[in-house]
Amino acid sequence: MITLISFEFKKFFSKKKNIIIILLLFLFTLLFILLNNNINSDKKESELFSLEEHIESFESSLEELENDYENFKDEKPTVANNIKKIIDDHEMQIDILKRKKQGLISGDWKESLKSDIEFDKYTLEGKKDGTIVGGEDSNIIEERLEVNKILLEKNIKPIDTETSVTAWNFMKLLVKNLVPLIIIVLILLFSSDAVSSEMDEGTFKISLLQPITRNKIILSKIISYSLICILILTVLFSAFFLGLGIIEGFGSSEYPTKYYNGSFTNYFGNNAEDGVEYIQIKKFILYIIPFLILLILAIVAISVFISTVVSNSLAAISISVIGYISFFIINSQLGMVSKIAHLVPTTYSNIPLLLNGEAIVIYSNNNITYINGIIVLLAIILIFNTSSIFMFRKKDIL
Amino acid sequence: MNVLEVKDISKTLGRNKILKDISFSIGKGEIVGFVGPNGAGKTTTIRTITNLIFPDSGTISIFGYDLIKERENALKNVSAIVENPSLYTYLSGKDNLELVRKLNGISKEKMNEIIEFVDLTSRINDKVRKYSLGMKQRLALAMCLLTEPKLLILDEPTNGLDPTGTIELRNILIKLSEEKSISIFISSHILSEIEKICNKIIYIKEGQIVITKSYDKNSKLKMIKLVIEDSVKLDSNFKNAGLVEDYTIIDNELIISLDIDNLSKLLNYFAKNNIEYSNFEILNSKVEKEYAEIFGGEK
Repeated sequence: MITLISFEFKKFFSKKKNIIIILLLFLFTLLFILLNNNINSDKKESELFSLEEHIESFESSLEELENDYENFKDEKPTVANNIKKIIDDHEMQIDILKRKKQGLISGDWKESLKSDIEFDKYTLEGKKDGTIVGGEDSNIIEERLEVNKILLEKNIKPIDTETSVTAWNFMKLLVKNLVPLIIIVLILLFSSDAVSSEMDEGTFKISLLQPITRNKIILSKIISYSLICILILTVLFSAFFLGLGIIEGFGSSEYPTKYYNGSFTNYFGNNAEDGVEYIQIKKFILYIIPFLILLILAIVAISVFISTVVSNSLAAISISVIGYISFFIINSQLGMVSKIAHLVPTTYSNIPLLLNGEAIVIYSNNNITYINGIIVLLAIILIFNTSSIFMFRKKDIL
Repeated sequence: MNVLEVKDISKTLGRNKILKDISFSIGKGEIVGFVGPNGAGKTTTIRTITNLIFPDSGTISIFGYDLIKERENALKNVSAIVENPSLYTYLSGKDNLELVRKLNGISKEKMNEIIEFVDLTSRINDKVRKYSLGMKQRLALAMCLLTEPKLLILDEPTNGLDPTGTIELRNILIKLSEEKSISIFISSHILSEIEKICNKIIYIKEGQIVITKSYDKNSKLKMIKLVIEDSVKLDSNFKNAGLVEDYTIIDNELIISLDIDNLSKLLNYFAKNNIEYSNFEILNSKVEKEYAEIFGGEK
């Protein structure tokens, strides 16, 4: 068995097709980094400009309010008092924004962060007492406020978590943005001709004519392709993690990351502690790793099964890739199967969304949890691998 | 105990019944030819007896082991080349051999001997895609011989070989059979080659065994064909003269089976008895004659 597995490794890395896919994988990841880095720089550059505009808008509004106040203070004192209150609010907001501006200019992120916290607190209070209407949703402000408080308390420099390519945050972004479609499709390209290519080329005759059971032959394929895909992604993730860490910095491993603890507690019926909390990003990544491994194993199990059933290499690859993309679109974009989404493996392809509870909101399905994901993926691995072994045992190799 | 025992195997692929209750056996040290026109079921039979495909019915036992139920034991002493030599062309010749070597626990020294034996030493580290068809055949043969099989199954092994390669392969197979008592089951379109090495030939047509014939490959018996002017002159003395083993005469065409050493005596006999003849022809092969009788003009 070990001989067969090591030979599979040799064959895999000797095929031009696989080398091209590996290069594509690295290229896509690199492009993704460059794109995010670009967006991140643009955002940083425009932040000061947008802040200045914000201040100007407040100041112009303040000027008008002061005129109004002068006009009404003698004739309609009640109205004037209300205007005075708004003027005070404006002055306070301008003061906060100016301090933030000062922080940005001087590079004092703490000052900037304190201003953000103060501003959000002020906005939330205004929303509660009705003096501020519209704008951002209170939940969003509350979440940001909580994160910013943790950052200040733990002395962590804030980053834009949607675009920052500091090493720790990049890991999360990679799993969130590239794994669900591009990386899974590339894994399918690797593994969906594992069996069919040997049938196409007639090379199965070599191993099948040896005194070894067919079970061992197909099992060695499943194990090898699973290990190879895990190995490639490990190298990819590690290389970019270290590379970005050196170039862009690692960022804080304790960066607060939104996490839906119902993922665990829901399953055991303990809803008392259900809800969102903020865990360290390293812990978040730690939760991602075993799930990602299971996801890869499930994808390989499905594609090896297709490869066993469909003897033609090109047909097997096409069915796997087109099938997955179609399923992905139907499931995630059209939401046509939201009621049974927790039973569909593609639902679990975006692990960060699963961990922070957003998958539940997207699919409107409370059963999409970390534990349920593990159960579904394990079932997929078991069913498809057993089917592959069973099919291959009786398959005619023409 | 027969090395290979095939009993009543049938196989349908798609809508076509390719094999129809085929039965045959191969004894120890026998070289058995498997002959038939294209589409007769030769390759399907070979695929079935090597467990690449499964028969719909019937049993196959190799060295007493049921091929389906005891695959590992059954294939332990078998090597085969089925259709074209199937090789990992993107790997080197050595890599291909290494797989077989490691799976069968064979020493590196033995592998190097075989590489030398098939004359691939200088090219063994090249990628197989750079090999000629003949070199691929030799590599495939090396992979077969590496395991020191007791039953060798070869499907069209001379495909792509030049005359020298064909002669070398023939000598190797005869040597393996004589010195190591290896049984060989070989399918080929080249009837003259089959005749030169086989003890037994199985003729297959439309998925059925037509006939199985045994041959003495060292026999000096040859077939000759000629047209005689007056067949009446061939009286009973002709047979009694002891020059021919057998003869048949159809119209004026005479087909004679005789020891090739007696040919000059026969021609003298014709001269002495004023038997005029024309269109003298030595038939190349007895197998060819039989093939033509069984299959007519089919190829």
